[in-house]
Amino acid sequence: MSDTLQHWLDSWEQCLDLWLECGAATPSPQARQRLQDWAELSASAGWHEVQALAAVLLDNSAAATAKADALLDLLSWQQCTRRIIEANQLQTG
Amino acid sequence: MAAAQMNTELATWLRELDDEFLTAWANRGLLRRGRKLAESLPATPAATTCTIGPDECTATLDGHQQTLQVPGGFEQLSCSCPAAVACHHLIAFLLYLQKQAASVVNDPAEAETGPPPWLSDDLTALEKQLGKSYYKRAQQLLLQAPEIELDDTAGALLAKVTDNEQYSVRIPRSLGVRAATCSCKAERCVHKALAVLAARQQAGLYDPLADLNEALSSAQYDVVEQLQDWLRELVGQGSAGLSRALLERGEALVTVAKQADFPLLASLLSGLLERLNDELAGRSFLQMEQLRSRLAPLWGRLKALRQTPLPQSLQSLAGTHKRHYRLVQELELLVIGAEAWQSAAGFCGLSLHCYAPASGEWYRHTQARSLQQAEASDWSPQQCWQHESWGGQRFYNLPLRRICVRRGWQSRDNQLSGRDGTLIESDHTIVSETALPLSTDFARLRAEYARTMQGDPLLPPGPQAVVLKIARTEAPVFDSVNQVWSQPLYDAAGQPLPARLLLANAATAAMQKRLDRLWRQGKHWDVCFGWLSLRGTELQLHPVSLRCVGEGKWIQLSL
Repeated sequence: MSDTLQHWLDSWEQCLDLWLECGAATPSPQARQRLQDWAELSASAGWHEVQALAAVLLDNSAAATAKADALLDLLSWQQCTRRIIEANQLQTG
Repeated sequence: MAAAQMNTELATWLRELDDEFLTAWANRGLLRRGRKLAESLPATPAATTCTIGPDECTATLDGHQQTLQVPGGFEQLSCSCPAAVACHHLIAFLLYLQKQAASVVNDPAEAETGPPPWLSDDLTALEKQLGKSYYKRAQQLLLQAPEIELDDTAGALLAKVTDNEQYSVRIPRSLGVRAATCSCKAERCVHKALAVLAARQQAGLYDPLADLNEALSSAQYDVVEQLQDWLRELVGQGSAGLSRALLERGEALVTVAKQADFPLLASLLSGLLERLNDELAGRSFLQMEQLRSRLAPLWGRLKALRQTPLPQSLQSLAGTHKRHYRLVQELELLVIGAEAWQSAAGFCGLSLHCYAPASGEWYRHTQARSLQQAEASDWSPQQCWQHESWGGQRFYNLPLRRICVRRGWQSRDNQLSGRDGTLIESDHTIVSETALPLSTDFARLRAEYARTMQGDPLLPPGPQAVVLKIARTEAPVFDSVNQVWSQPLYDAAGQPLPARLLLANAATAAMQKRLDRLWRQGKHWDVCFGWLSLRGTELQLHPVSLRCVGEGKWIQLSL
């Protein structure tokens, strides 16, 4: 796995951990900033689906349900991506 | 009426009746008795009590009267004997008529050129033949992406329908649904209806979304919504804002999910709640990885269940109740290893692990007690191993034996019960190495495990049973900080695979001592049975039993 991909995955995970801890309803300023940075990184890498989900979380006017859904969707994407990468690593020895 | 004038549709159906078809309708015993009776009948209609008429065929056998209404089909059969449906008189009657049908020549002009009966344009008639309630149930089940294998053969449509268990359906080309059989033995059933609808769907004649737009019942959708709302509330307030009330509502939802036939969702939620309860009670620090890995598969499955048709089968998304045992007979197994274990949830037990060469599947039999129960009754897995038996066979005699479960009970996840009436036979010869399902290529094992991971990236695979051929071992290493013992193993090509033990209890500590002693004695592993699992991105083996180089005897490491 390339360093860039590893960095992107790690920062995604750290971001999610911050949001899962403080909650989608009341994110800390640190959690918001980390997500903002990560969303920019994702957009530049062409990951527009996850960037759109991050945008919902960062939107102050979004409904609580939409934010919770976006956080859970982001989490599912992250877990899927990590497992597929792990499987590829395992396969290539 | 002469046999040559037999209704051609009836004659075609009779000619299609092979042993498999007759067994599916009746059973092997009735077929054997029926054949014997048929063989005792005179060859010509004139010399028997049988008549072949334009509207019906009749016979009198053993003092009972048999009738078959033309154009035939099992539903058109009757016998005056006390048997409920099938009997050996009817089998003999059918076999006799079949002999007569052999001489009936089909008029080429009447040969069927239209579609087979399951693809008939007359859907109303088909619905009536299948039974309206079964037809409607099948329509909804088809939206749940059930596993259906279709085989359109020259004589019949054969279908394997998986609905908790696998059922075999056979619909003959001549008489269609009215002469169809299913291994569930019911005259009408949802499996036949599913086979017909799946065949129609495959032929582009049926659109599952045309009549219905919901795959689940409204009660099931309600449960999916309740679970989703609970997860939304959890991530809305975050782990820092956990409350007792939220967790109690989660506990109630575990029961609700089980009752809605969503056992996998109940189990995932239960695992999540266990971690959250520990966190709230201050018993352990919640690791975010534990939260992430439990939330994602649950949320992913709930979202999939909102789709119509379902993207995967309902069973793979919501699970199936595993503790529903069904009768199993004549199951040939190799007993590979035995294991004493103790779980973090407070149970201890003895498990026997068996391999079925015919199917390539793994089975197990377990005797378990809670730790309190075991202590109170002076029971231990070791004592069970030495003194107790399963189906009439002592546990300690079974490893590396070929056994036959003459009669037993099996759950959907291949657990074999020990209930009264279980009968097991063993030929007492040691299974040779060539009969074992040996894995000699560790790189291939990794690739296969990776493919399983890719199949469902949201839910990591559980431990997988494996028998390894080992070419070389290295000295064991003990990590005292993490309490992990490990020993590098290599295949013939030099591919590594570590054997590891997490020293979580006395049972694993005893295994470690035994393995260290083997190394000190200069004994090297030759063949090993154990469990494969993933640690980070590395595949590892939890050893259960092994045989050392140059030795014939297997060592059950925990016993």
